This record gives sequence, C-alpha cells and structure tokens, in this order.
Amino acid sequence: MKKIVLIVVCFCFLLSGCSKSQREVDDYAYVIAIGIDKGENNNLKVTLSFANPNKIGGGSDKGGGSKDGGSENLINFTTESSGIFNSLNVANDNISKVVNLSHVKLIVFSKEIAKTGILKYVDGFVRELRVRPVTILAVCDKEPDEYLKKISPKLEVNPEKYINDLFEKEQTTFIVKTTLRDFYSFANSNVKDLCLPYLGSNDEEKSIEYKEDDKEMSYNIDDNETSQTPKDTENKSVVLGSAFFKGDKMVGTGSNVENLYNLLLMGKVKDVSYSIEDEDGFITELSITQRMKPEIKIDTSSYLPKAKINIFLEADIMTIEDRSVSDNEYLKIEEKLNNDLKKNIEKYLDKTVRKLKVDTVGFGNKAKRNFLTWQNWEDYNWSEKFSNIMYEVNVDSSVIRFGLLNKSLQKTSK
Amino acid sequence: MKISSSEALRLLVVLIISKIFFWDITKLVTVSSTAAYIHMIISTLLALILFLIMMKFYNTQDDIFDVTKKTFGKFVFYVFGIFLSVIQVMNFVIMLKSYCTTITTVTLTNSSNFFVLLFILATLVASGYLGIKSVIKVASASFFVLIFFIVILIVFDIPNFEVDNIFPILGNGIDGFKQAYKNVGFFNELLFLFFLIPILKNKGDVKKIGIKSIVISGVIISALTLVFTFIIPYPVNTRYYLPVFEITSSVNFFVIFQRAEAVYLILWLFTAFLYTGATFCFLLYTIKKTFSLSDQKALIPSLLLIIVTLLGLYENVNATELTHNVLSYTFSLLLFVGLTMIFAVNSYKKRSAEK
Repeated sequence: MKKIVLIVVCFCFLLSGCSKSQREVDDYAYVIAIGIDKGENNNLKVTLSFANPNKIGGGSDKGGGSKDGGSENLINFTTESSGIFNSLNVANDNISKVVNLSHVKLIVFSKEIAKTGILKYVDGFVRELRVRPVTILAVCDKEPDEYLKKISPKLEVNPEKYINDLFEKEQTTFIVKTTLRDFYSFANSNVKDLCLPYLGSNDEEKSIEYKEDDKEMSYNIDDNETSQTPKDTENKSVVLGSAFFKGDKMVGTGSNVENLYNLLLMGKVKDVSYSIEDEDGFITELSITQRMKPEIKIDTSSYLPKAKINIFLEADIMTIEDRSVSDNEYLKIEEKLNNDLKKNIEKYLDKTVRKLKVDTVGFGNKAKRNFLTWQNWEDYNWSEKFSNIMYEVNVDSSVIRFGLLNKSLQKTSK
Repeated sequence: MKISSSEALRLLVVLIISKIFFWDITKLVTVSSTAAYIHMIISTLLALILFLIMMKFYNTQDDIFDVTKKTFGKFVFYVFGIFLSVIQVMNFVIMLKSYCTTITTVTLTNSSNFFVLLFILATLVASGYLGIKSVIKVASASFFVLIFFIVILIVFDIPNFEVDNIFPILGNGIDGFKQAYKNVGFFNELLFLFFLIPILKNKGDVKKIGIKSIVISGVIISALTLVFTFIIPYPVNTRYYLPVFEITSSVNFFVIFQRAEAVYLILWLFTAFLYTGATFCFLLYTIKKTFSLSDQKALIPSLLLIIVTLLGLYENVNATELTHNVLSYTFSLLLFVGLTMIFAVNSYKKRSAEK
C-alpha cells in the first residue's frame, strides 16, 4: 500500500511538467506601467509600457544591457479599444510574448479621464488577480502615452525599480503616494479623500488650469515661484504636483510644496528641507522631521465640527546666513518656523477644505471615533458639514541640532 | 493505536479554522461592520456556553452513535445515522466545490476545477484507506506550520494597519451583535470530537479538548477578522471575496517580502487536504456505524462517485450559498441542541437505572 501511495505521489510531481499552459519566464512581456486616456468614439486609448529585457539584462559588452539606463529600457505599445483588458488582446495578437501584468507598478490616467471618474477602471484592476493592490495610481497633465515615452531613467537600468524607488522611498518630499487599494477603499467613502501624483514633462508648457492655481496660492519662498520641479534634466518625466480627488473624480491640482503640508498633517515627513526668511531677508534652511504623528482632535458635539491640530517637529539647522546660533537665537528660528508652517498649513486647508471641499488629511476618519455605531456616524451627515469645519493649527518645533558649526562665516568687506 | 488529547485538539482547530480561507469573514463584516471581530468573540463565547451546557449532561465514554443507540433504540438510531450521513455528504460536496473554485481563482487560473478535484480525490482515496489516525498525525504536525504562517502574515501586515478603521467601535451596534448566534456554526466541526472518543487515549479529556479547540480557533478567527478590518476599511471590505487572500496580498515588507500570496496557497493546501481527508473519514465512519458494516474501505469508490456526481448540481459557489446556509444551521442545531438532548436523555436514563 505504501509503495502505491509513493508511486501516486511521484506521478503527481511529474504531472506538473505536462501542463499545456506552462511557460518560461522569458515567454512573457512584463508590463511596468499602464497609461489610460480618452480615445476616439468613446474608446479608451491604452498604453502599455513593457520592460525591455534585452536592454535591462546583461552588463558585459557582449550582452544587450544598457548600462546608462534610458528610454530604450521601456517599450511602449498604444492601442484603442472599448476596455482596458480588451487592449491586452490586441497586444497579445501583435507581440510574440504573452502580456503579463504581475509587475505593473504605475497606472497613469489622463486629466480628462480623471475628471469624469476613474473608479470603474480601478474596479477592474482591483478585481484582476495579477495587478497588485500596491500599484501606484497617478494623473498626467497631458497624454499618458507621451509621459510614458519621456520616462528614461539615467541612474537605474531597471525601469520597474525606478518607478518603485521614485514613489516609495522615504526621502520623498513632494510626491504623494496612493495605491490601487487605497483609492478603491476611499473613493466611495466620506471619511477621506485622496490625492494622486500629478505627472508631466518639463519640456512642455504646463496647462492653463495649473497656472491659474499657481497665481492664487502663494505660500512662501518655497512655493510655485520656484516650482520645485527640475529646470533641466535628461529624464524629461517629472512630478508636477498632486491631483486632488473628491470621491473618484479629480477636482483640482496642487503644487509640489502643498504636498509637504499634506504630509505634515498626516505625520509622514522625514528629513525634509524647509526654508524660512526673516524680516531682514536672511534665509535659514532647516531639515524637519516628524518623530510622532500629529494630534488631531475633532469635536463633533456642536452642529459644525471643530478640528484642533497639533504638529510636533524636530528641526536641524542646515544653513544660516550671517547669524550665530549659540545664544538662544534658535528660539527665534523655532518661532519663525512655527508661525510660517502654521500660516501655510492653514492656507493649504483653506484651499482643500473650503475651496475644493476635499478631505486629504482624513478628518472624517478621526471624527468617526466620536460615534459608537455606524448609524450614528451616518446620521451626523459629515459630508455636508465637513467643508465648514473650523480648524486650529499649532506647530511645535524644536531645533535639536546645529550641524558642525556654531557661528556662520562673517562677510568681510573688500 | 490511540490518539492523544493534544492531537485531537489540533485536528479540531485545523478543521474549524479552515473556513477562514473562504468568505466567512466577509459575512461577519457585512453584519457587524467595524465590530466584526467583537461579533466573532461573542459567537465564540456563545459556542463555549452551549458546549459547557452540553458537557453538563455528558457522562459517557462511547461515541455519539453508540450513545444514541443505547438511549433511543435502533429505529431512532437509524434515522439519526441516515440523516447525519446525508447532511455530511451534502456539506462535503459544497466544501469541495468551494475549495476547487477558490484555488482556481487565485492560482491555476487556466485550469479547470476538475483538474484540482483530481488531486483532492487522490487525497480522499489515501485518507480513506489509511484511516483517520493517519490524518490526525498529519494534522497534528501541520497545525504548527499553519499557526506559524498565520502569525508571520499578521506580523508582516502590521505596517498596513490603520487603527481608525475599527471606529465606530460598536460597528452596526446591538443589531449586529444580536445575530452572533447565527455564527456559532463556525464551530460545527466540534461534532467530530464525539466521533473520536473510541480512539482517544484519555476519554475523560473530551470536555477539555472541546473548550480548548473553541478558544484557540475563536482567537485565531477573531484575530484575522481584526487584521482584515485594520487593513481594509468598512464598507469596502464587504466586497472582497477572499479576505485572507487580501491580507496576504497587502504584505509589502521591505524589499524582501513583497509577494506573500504564496502563503495563502500554502495555508490553503494544508487546510484543503486535511479538511477534506478528515471529513471524508468521518463520513465513512458515520455510514459504517449506521449500517454496522465491518469494512468501510469498500465504500470509498462508490461514495466518491456519488460526491463527484452531486458536484454537478452547482454551477459555481454562488449557487451553493443557500444550501450552505441551511446545512450550517442544521449542523449547529444538531451539535448544540440535538447532542445536548441526546446526552441529557442518556444521563437521565442512567440515573433512573442506577436508582
């Protein structure tokens, strides 16, 4: 009996080699990014960016590896079809390998599609087994296929690693990260709204709508005047800012620096440079870090909700002009930093909460702690009251370190 | 060869927690929203109370078939045995359908359900011929593997926890908790404890095994429900078909652990083969005891043929939902009410006879 069982078990292992659908790793074409745009006649224009294994692999002169990185590492394939997954059929019919979605890192929607709502497309991706729930979603200023063509990483050979590191490294200041699952979870809820990275290229004029946004909101020396996007780079694909969503529809855009205030409110700032300017015009650059999440208390006892936000920061002095820090000068720097951030955060909240009516901070998530049951929460009607929320922001920063210098270098006259 | 109490305990825990790989957690969330884990804790406590009430009347060392025969006579015994066989067969068919469908959803997507079914049928043949003791030994070793992977999964998912997701703290409130009695069906597999009594080394440990299996499996299911709520907020989490699969796919722990769906596959493999193997052995035992057969192995081919034929009744898992709910309630009634009555009458008759 035992011999029979052993034979059956061995037979089962051998069976795995007989599968008709068995494929080797290099039989697949791996999609790294997907671009979705409006096509003609109500069709969708879908761009699939495939990793080019001939350019990524190898490091020797004989191999096909492109050691300098570059746009050759990605091959773009654009089709028009009625649906996203129908476009895979077109791709499968026209390329020799089988399209594989298991390495998709980025899904980019055009602005037009984002304004009409993207939940139906996100639903398809969430339902799809092969696309991972941690895939990044983004919105593009112009056509997604143009953006994907411009991606040409110079410091990496592997384009998947480029996208992964761009959006997921901890040092990111201005890039908001929203995954497929986050979007699907909150697009239909009233506890939080989302912002997606707003992508584009720095060799084109920004769209008019974006420019109007710039004129209205001017925060400080770190605002749109300096734009916080590269002036010149070989890799033309850049992050322009963030796109604000109400539910699943895009309602506005924000500059890169606004995302810093969003991250401060969410407690995700790590080692970010921030400049303050005093009355005499001297600029001090600080590195700010949040070691603990901000305290956000929402009071729902009255008809209109009230929010009290306390943000705690640690700051290190990076550069300081013509001033000593040895004799309590740092207290003035702390006060200036606190006031500067308080003013800018409140301005950011005025834009998002009052004007755009989006809850990027997740005040709703905090507010529902005040209710015992889901019915009580729904009866409170948070969606109607949220845009009138009264908020009070306090920033408490502490200058911890001064670097290796005590006094700045004094200017000498010639 | 007798089995120890801890081996029996491990088998029961594996059988009870095998449901978490389907959509039972989603049902808890649909009823109680953000307080689904509290709902599960209440169901666990209810099951424990009902089991303790049952144990108050339990004072025998025979299995449930012998007790029924001695207490109610042959006619009731035959009715009981046939009824139990029929509902076990139907339950087995539905679980088989569910296992085959879930695994072809998450892997082997190009394969037909019949391909997966062949592997399970091979396991059933092996379990039937080798007997329940072999299954219990395998389950006993697999228990630690299962617990290890479940703990690893929970630990690696900690960075994705969002504590705000469990508020409002009472979820759908008392209306949700009032329905906790419907979910004592999670512990239906306790019925098989009373099949194992003849082969237990220490027959007096039945109560201890029952209590420990309810508590351990209740803790595991409640923990996974809580983790699911932490990771995916209500009401979106009511839409997910396989909650534990979503927990595994959320793992994104540094660069090393980024795709943990294979953990779901490992857990599925262990529980699928152990659950189907063990319940098939118990089904054979039920028929053997009911009809006083000397050899249960002869039943294996014909029973497998009946089961595979009955699988054709259901096109997909959605079609099994009504039958599954009816069977779940029937098993719960049989376990917590039926068995309590049987033991109560048996205990009363024994005391009367002693007097």
